[in-house]
Amino acid sequence: MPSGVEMSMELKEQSRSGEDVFIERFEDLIGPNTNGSESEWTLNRRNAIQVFAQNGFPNKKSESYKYTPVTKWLQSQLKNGMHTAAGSSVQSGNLKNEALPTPLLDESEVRGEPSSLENMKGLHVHATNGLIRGSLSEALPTGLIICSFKQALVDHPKLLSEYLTKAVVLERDPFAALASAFAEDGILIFVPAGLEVEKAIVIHHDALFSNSLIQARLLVVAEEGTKVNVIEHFPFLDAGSSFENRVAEVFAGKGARVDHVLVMERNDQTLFVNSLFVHQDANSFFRTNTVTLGGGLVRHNLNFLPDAEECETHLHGLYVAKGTAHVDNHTLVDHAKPNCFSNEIFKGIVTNQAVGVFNGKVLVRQDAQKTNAYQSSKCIVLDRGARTYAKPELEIYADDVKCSHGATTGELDEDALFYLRARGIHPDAAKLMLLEAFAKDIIGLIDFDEVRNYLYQRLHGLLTVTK
Amino acid sequence: MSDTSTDLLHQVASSEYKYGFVTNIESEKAQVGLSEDTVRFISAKKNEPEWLLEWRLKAYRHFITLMESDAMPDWAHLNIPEIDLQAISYYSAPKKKPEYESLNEVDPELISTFKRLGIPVQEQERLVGIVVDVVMDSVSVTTTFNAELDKNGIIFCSFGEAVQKHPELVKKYLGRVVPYTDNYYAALNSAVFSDGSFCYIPKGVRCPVELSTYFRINESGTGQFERTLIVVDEGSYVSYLEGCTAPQRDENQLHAAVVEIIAMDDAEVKYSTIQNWYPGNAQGVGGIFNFVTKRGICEGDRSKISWTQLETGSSITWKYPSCILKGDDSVGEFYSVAFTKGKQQADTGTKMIHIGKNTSSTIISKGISAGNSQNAYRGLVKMTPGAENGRNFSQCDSMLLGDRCGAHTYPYLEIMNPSAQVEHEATTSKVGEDQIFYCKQRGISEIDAIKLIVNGFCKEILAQLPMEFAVEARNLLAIELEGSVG
Repeated sequence: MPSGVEMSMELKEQSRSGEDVFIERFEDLIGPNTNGSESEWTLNRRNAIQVFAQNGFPNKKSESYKYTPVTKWLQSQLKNGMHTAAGSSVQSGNLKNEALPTPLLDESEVRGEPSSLENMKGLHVHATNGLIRGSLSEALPTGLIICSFKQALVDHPKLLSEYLTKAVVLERDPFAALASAFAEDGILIFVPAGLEVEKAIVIHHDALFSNSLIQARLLVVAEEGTKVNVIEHFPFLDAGSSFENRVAEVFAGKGARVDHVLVMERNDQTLFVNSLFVHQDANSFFRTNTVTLGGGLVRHNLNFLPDAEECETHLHGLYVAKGTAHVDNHTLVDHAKPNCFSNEIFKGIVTNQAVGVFNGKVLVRQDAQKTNAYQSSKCIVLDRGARTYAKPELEIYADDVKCSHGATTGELDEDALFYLRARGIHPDAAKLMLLEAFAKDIIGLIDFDEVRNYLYQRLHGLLTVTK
Repeated sequence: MSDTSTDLLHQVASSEYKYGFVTNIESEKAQVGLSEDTVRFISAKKNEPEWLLEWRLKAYRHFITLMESDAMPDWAHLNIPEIDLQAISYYSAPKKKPEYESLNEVDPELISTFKRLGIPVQEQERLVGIVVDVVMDSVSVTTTFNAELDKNGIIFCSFGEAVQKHPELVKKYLGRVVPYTDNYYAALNSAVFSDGSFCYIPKGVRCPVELSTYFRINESGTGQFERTLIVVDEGSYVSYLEGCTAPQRDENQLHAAVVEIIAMDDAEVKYSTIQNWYPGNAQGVGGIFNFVTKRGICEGDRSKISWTQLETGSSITWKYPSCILKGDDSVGEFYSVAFTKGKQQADTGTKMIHIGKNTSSTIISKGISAGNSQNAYRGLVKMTPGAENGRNFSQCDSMLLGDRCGAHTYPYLEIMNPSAQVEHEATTSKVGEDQIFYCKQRGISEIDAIKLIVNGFCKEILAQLPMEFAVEARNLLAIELEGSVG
């Protein structure tokens, strides 16, 4: 009995220390509260760390992390000493002495090979540790702003105070709170009313500090009647075991059309948490396509709030989990207002010892009559040892609605395989053909040829090795 | 249609509980409150052997640790008011333990109670051939058709009787499927269960009649802790019916039952339930808390367990009849209709745990919410790594009959075997205006139209119930709808 008690105490101690490390570090970073003279943003950050301190990291009982042992993962990373921006070994005990949000420039920066996406027609932004590096490739259309938060504080202070942290629900996810507290800078994209940005804005997150913790932010504001495409690429980087925790906020104004694509291909030691919060105004359209092809432990928290009538929301997602990867897509569509439409389609291919998780929730509040919400999750499991968990939820408080969800998990269709083999196609080729067809349903929904082709090519590579 | 149909919905939602009355039968109660003494009192009262008392005490001690660590389950989509376990009397038995040769000797009061419930015992016995083991509060009062069952070697009796007459069977199987450590309410039940039913079907016997038990909560301020154990040996079959209605009451009553089913090779069990406990009045006062643990294990190859339930009563329902598919080629089924109105809350569903090879399961759940009620489906489908070629199909449909109620779906799918195939789908909608319009055009009144549509919505499930039960179920649903639609 005593030993059991001791052990649980020890465990508690350990998990607490993980949080304390961050909280203490935050205090070191920001310093004591200088009554009243602090900027709105700093106050927001203080609030965020308080929310984090209250909730802590997810534990075994956290329903929203039921299938994703992120805290365990994080603790083992801390123990092994990640966050070593300058190469020195750091363990959770003396972590606070090291740079948690790493300095902007450092010689240990790892940069990726340019991808074919660099050649697409677009406004290219390159980012190191989630922050803009260098200058933009070309001149921006009049009124369009793409800059760092720090720049925005000087040039457009009103913008930040109007939008920053206004979409994030800190209580919903401790990682979102953590990133909101720590991020000292971020990328701002502002599209003024009526502007339709013809070229896609392509953000290449193509450089990282190795073994680092990166907490970054993205803020996209699309005012009334605008149109904008944002493509984010997180390519493979040989940067050791990094922890990228980022928060993105998107505001789609009245009648705005915002199209977002995220392609994530980090190495298999990366812990990647992406918290996206989307706020939609009347008649707006938002679409995201979240493609996960890499990473060690990947968690996408995708939150949508169509906060006015006649909104249209599309969530598309594809993941290929190989090796021992763990990919978790966690979505919430919060229908607060009537007459909105949402459509959610996720597909996954899980191989080797990998784990695929899908948790999608559609919430229809009492006043959200005439809501149409659809959700579908399909998953193919290829190997013994691979696991999938699905939790598609509907929570409905309004009666005049049409909502449905479907979830399937299984191996490849035997009949389809047989059909192809009967026509003389090698089993491996037939399998590949079927898997590619399965994945193309999602990739095909992306508007840009260059992105689609790039992904087809990457998928082909990934799935061929898989056999 | 909106105005009239809304009125209609309100009318149904506000209908009174039809089965509320108290039968005046003298009863003997245990001292109020939960303690080790209570457990000993119950055990002594029932003249139980030492091992059963030990088991109860172990359960009691486990429950105390759970209570101290505040382990009451709070994950369900339910708002459960605090339950004072010390204010409950844990044992209540009719004072005059009747031992009847024929039904004529049964307390006429009891017979009339069943008549008012629309369950004429004698007629059922004569015309339908169902054996009714009547459980009035906690002690079994009548068992009929014993001769017929004896002939086949079937044991069907009250739990207390089984402990006396077949201790080896009870000892072997008690807690096998639902151990006392299973959950909070199962632990409580294991400590203080008063009585219940026991059923054993020997090898190769197809039970010639449908076994049936009607539960009633009849004593104000008594919790009812039933324990049912059904063991079906190789190649046997039984269809077990359980139905309940409860008298009106203003005090919340806790009902924490446990049902265990064990099916051996090639055995088949069909378990049907109609649950109509008192749901509380329009303000949500009173009503039964129905916190039940029901679980069956397909122990043998090619065995099958099928759960069918119609849930219309209780103020709070927390119930997940489950199947552990351990034997190869075993089959689990779950068919459910849950109807909530007024301030009722239901969080119900199933668990299908696939362990053996080539196992398959089907889940069909229909939820209908009206008034201010909350109705949730929560179900788990788990394919363990050894569940080669496991198959599951789940369908969960919800219908909303009002704009102040909620319908929720929380499925959990855990798949650890690549050859397993799992499909889940769910929809939520309201009664179609065009469907009602179509009916009205043909001279069918709005209420009849809604009944027709709801009946069609539940048809798949009701068809699973045994004949007589299906008729009763359809009537019950119609009565409930009249109350909440108008």
